[in-house]
Amino acid sequence: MDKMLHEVFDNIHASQQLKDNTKQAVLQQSKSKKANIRPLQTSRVAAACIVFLLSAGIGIGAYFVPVSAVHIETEPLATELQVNCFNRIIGISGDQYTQEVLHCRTETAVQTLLDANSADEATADTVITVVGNDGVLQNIRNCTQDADNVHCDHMSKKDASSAAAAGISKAKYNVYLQLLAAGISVTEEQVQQMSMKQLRLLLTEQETAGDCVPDETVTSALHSQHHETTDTSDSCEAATKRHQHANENNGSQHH
Amino acid sequence: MHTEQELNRVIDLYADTVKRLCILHLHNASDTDDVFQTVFLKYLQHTGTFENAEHEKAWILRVTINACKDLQRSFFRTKTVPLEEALQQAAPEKEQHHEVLEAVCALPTKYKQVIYLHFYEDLSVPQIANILHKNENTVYTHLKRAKALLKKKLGGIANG
Repeated sequence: MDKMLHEVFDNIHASQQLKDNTKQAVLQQSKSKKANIRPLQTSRVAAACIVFLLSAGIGIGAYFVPVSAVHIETEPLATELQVNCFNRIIGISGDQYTQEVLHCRTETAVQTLLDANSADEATADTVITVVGNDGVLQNIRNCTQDADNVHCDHMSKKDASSAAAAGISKAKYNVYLQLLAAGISVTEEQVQQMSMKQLRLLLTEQETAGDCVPDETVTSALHSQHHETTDTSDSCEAATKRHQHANENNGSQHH
Repeated sequence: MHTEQELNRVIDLYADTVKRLCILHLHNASDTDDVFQTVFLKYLQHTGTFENAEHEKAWILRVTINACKDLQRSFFRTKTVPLEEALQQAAPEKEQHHEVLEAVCALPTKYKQVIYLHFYEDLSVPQIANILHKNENTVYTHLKRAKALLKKKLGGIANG
């Protein structure tokens, strides 16, 4: 068998043409560096896949990271929306919880929640406080500019933490800060007990009356919740008169 | 990297060996061309040095067998031809040679590899085991079974 196999395989030869073609092709591929095309392409494809997967991973990760929060407060309702860097809603909590707004644009979600308010709540003032990105605030202002009873404010993350620590809603805390900045001595406990309407009225009176509003106004406002007035364009004199009236009521309540 | 002169020498020296392995594994002329280019291109780009002629030959044998396996596994390899047609590549002159070659080619790959390397290339079992990356005992077993199969197929020719 050994001899026979030798004879058989001895008869097999590569033709001269095959040798020449191989030499030519190999040298040509080597010179034009085509030989490296396959491994190079493989490494390029692998690198592209890695970059794609990393990008996709980072993108998906970034989508679910909240960068801003939008607090919508229409007393007595309060709702918080979490917004990602793509201006999409990724979380909702509070009284108006609905999955309908998830993954919507912030403006669309805000409009949906405002539209969902009942008739009574629709006539009440709504305060939208944006914690974080200023761009989100601007978008919301643009979409709510036609609504008369919607106020939009911005709040820093530090103030938002302070508000949460004090147990005060973001909208109230914003007015509280404005009152403090206006020189009105008011405590967090007092703010907690006052309604948003009272706080805004107090702030408006301060802006209108300037230095004429005495500090006792806060105390009187607290004790005269049933005498709230909606006229926000009173003069300094009118504000002082109301202050005196509140004090009288305060005295009668104590008796 | 080897030089063009070294490439020419190696092609002249081992072209027949590569051709024989291609006939055993591929049965297809165009696939044979591909394997030729793959093997000798790898040789040209090989940066290592060979200790001696035996080492160089073992390297050529191993690279050729691997290239044939890769081509057989290739997703894009759709061209297949019958064994009869494939044997035309070898063009054996005698009828008896044709039968023997047909019988060897019809063996399972693991058997025809050891038959060729042992009986034609005169390699020892340890050398074959090294080239095929197999255990020596496995090679012994394959060789024994391959011989038995071949004798059974060839009958009187093998004994004669």
